[in-house]
Amino acid sequence: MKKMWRVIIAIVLIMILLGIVGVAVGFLTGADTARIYQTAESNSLISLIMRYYEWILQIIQTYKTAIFG
Amino acid sequence: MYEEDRLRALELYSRMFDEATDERALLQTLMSPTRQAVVVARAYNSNLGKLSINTEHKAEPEDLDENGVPDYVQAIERIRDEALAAQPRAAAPAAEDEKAEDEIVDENQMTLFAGEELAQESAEPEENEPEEIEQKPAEDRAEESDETAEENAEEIVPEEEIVESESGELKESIAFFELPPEGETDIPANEDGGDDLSVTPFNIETGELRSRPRREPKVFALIVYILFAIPLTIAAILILLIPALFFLALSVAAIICGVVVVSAAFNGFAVFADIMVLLGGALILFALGLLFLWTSIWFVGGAIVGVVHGVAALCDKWCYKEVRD
Repeated sequence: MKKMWRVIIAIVLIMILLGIVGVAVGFLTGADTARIYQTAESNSLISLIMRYYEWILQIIQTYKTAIFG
Repeated sequence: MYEEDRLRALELYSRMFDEATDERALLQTLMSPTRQAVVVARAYNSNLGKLSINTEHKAEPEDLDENGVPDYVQAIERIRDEALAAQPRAAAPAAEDEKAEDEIVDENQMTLFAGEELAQESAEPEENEPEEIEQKPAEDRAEESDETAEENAEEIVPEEEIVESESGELKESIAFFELPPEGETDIPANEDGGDDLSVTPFNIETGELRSRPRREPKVFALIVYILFAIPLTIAAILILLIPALFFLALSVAAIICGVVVVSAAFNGFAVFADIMVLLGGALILFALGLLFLWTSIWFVGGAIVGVVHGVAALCDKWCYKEVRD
């Protein structure tokens, strides 16, 4: 288990590092968050996921209000 | 290995030592206890097919060869024959070596120029030796005779064996085959004063089989433990399942989001920089998904299984006792 933890953490760290490098390269080469958001909204799949995400947030908020008042 | 077979093998080895005229030469022939164990293990043919200490006695007769002798007994007999046959041969090379040395000396005397002087020098010590011997006290002569006997024994041994004896293997083999002196056993004693049965399953002095400890449940303690342990274990498992399922849901969500982001990056986006940003984000989502997935697996396979094992070990410790027949 300990060995597997080390392997998993190493893989995760490498992937996160590569992701950060990709995002950094993207922003250095002229990416714009507003443009990305605008394009994502027009994409039906991403807009669907965003609506699903908002729905989950609403459910959590409802339960939070019911439990903690 | 069954107890009967093990004791029989030990008896055969013991007999081998009794029959041997020179125990040291026999030990050198046997080489090491490990080697003998391997030989017996290879020859051993039990119904279980494994060589392990087994407290159970043979329920069925073992497979015998045509002569009705088990394979491992034949192997030990072969070793004994080899060892006994090697003993007279061991003395022969020593005599041959002495002859060879004499021949070498003679050759040197023939080839060297100072033949007479060397012959005189070589003759002088021989003439002086008897006088010195006569002058020495009887004790010294006894010590010398012991030393010469040891030297002769060492001459028989090949050089490789001498190297082994220097490294301590010979001592190990001697220590393995020697029985402890009476009243001085290294076997630790139990709390009740008896011998530790996990060390030797048979009595060294008498050779009889000892009774192995048996595990008996403390019935009342076991019932009480089960009454409390089962509900508590189930509760612990349920509590541990909550974070496991939570992390599983998180991992699934992260991986799905990553897949959607990757597919969207190649479908709706035209600018390379935007695609790079989305691919970087997708990689981070996959990494988090993998981490959450492994955490949920750890909760199920590590924490829950650990709790169950812990409860079982605690039951084993509290609710069972060892008794002897």
